[in-house]
Amino acid sequence: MLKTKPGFLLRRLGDESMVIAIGAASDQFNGMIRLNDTGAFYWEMLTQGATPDQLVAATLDKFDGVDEAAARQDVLEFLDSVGFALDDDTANH
Amino acid sequence: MAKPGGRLCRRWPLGEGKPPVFCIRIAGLPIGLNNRYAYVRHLCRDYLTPEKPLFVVRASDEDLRREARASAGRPRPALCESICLYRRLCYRLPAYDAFLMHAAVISMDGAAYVFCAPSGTGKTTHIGLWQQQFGSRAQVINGDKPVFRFIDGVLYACGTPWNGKERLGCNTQCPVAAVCFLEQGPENQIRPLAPQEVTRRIFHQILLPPFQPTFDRFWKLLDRMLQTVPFYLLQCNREPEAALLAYHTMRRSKTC
Repeated sequence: MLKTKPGFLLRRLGDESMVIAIGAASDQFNGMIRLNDTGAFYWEMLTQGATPDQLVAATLDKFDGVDEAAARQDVLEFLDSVGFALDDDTANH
Repeated sequence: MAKPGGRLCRRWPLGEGKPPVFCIRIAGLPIGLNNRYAYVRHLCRDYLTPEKPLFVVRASDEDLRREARASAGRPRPALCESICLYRRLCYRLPAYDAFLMHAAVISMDGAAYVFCAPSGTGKTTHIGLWQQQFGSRAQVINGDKPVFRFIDGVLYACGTPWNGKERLGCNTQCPVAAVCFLEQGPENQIRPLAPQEVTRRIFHQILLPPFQPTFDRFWKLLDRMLQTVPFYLLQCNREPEAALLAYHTMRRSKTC
């Protein structure tokens, strides 16, 4: 399961969503990541903890006319872009 | 600037009574500084106040070590302490509707004009052009690290003792007319910035409080500034016209 690391916060400024690191987390990351609405949606789920499968399922649920392969691709690309801000407690199989 | 050295690097002897605290007034806020070196008290000489402080900050041993590691060249403990004290002070400001922003601020006829740019882009040069063009009508509030504070719904730019190596600034507060990002360019051009364009630029000029409740307060102030203050982008060369263009455009937008 993937979960957002402490100190990495999703915030809105005007119309934009972004992830910012504060405190100890800012030693690791000193910038901001702009997210679109879908990215913000994934991030909110990840603050509680979610697996990639759960993110894909939520995507299919939320958006009409998206096929699973495309949803999976989007999810994996997103996770790649914010990977450094996530903790992964998935056991190695 | 008088570099810290000799007398001003004097350390207060350990174990001799209470460590000293002096009080300064910034942005209308009395704040106590608990210092080990005399330098910072000298730096703050135009801001001293006999008032009782709202809170007191001090630089921890770890703060000083980190700052020394971050600074290039030979270690200068007294200077490091002054930087650490300001940072600690600024982390507390959002509770009072105030925050730090890296900028050069110049006032004209009761309005403050704020210039933001990465270090070395030419903020100091640009406000120098204002001084050239407008003489004593233009007054630098702070050339490097001003504090901004919302007072009765109006955003003020405030002088502080930490105003850059050229020591440009004075102890005054002035309502902000507009904020302008500077870029060097061959021709002088100015245009308003859309909100998304502001966000990506402003991020590098602000200090994020490390403690989440304070950070949340700070974020609200930042959002409020973006909603209430006009933002511009000025591409400029070092010609005097750059100052005239900036002034005449930014003053037309002011709501104060």
